[in-house]
Amino acid sequence: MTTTPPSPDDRDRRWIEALRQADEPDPPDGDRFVREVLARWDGSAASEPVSPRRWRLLLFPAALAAVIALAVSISLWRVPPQPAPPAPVADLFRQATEQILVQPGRVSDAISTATQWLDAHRLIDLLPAQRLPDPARFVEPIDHETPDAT
Amino acid sequence: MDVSATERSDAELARLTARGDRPAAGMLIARHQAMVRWFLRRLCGNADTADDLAQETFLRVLRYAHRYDPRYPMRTWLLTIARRLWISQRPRLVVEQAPAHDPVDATNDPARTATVAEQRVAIDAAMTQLTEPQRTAVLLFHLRELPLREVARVMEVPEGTVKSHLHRARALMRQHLDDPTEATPP
Repeated sequence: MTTTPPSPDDRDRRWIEALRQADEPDPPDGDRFVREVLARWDGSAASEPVSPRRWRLLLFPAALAAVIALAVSISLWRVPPQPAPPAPVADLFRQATEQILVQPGRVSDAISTATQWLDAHRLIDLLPAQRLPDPARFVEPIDHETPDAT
Repeated sequence: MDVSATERSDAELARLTARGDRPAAGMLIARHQAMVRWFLRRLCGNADTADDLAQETFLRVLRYAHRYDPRYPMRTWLLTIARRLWISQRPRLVVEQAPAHDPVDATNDPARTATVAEQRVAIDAAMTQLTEPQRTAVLLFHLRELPLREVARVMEVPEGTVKSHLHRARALMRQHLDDPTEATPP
């Protein structure tokens, strides 16, 4: 009497079943295993570096401050230096008036001050050169206190 | 009323573990330790090495519990981590090809004991002929009866690749168990 050879599926089932029967049972020391893992977890938690989530929480304010500082520095760097503002016109007139009236001997300074005023207001070019008084002509002090002899 | 720990889902235990809840972490380990240790023992063939890797697997799960995606089973995540650890540390580990299980329990029937022992030796020898992906596929699909989709996720390959591994593994196992002298490595 001959027997038909088992089909591949039957033969698979055979060794798979044998494999299952030969499989070992679950290890009995599950509680010990749990304790050991938890102990390692406790130990590692104490010396563990900051978790990624906490790193994100810590790094966010620092990164935000760095970005703000960078933006401010870039904006300051890109703004061209402003020229020094010209002296106010009122100050120049006040100086000229003081120099003429209070310090009558400084007429040449008063002319220089007036010339600066004209220059500051872009008016100097509108005047003919010969109309500008020459400060050298006023090197001699004028005595306003001396009455005219005539 | 608070739900007892035994009724809590894996997702809830993972969420509590991420907050540092020690009892939840213990419950998570207790629930899955047998499967992970079994898988690693069958993979590496050494109980001590397997338990070291299993501990490392659970430590990573506890540390990165906040990353757990509850759409997938916890066991898939665990087995994926365990397999990655095994693959990455295999070159540094001393692999024993001896059977991972304990010696056959003594029974009242010496003949039966001898038969089972011989069967185990033959099956272990056949399993060692398989490549790691083939062995993983056989262990998870045929022994643990995980769905093909889940096996593919653990192995991080398409389902078709798992089918291919299973097909070759079955052929090798048949060949080796039917006539070990003619079996050739893949």
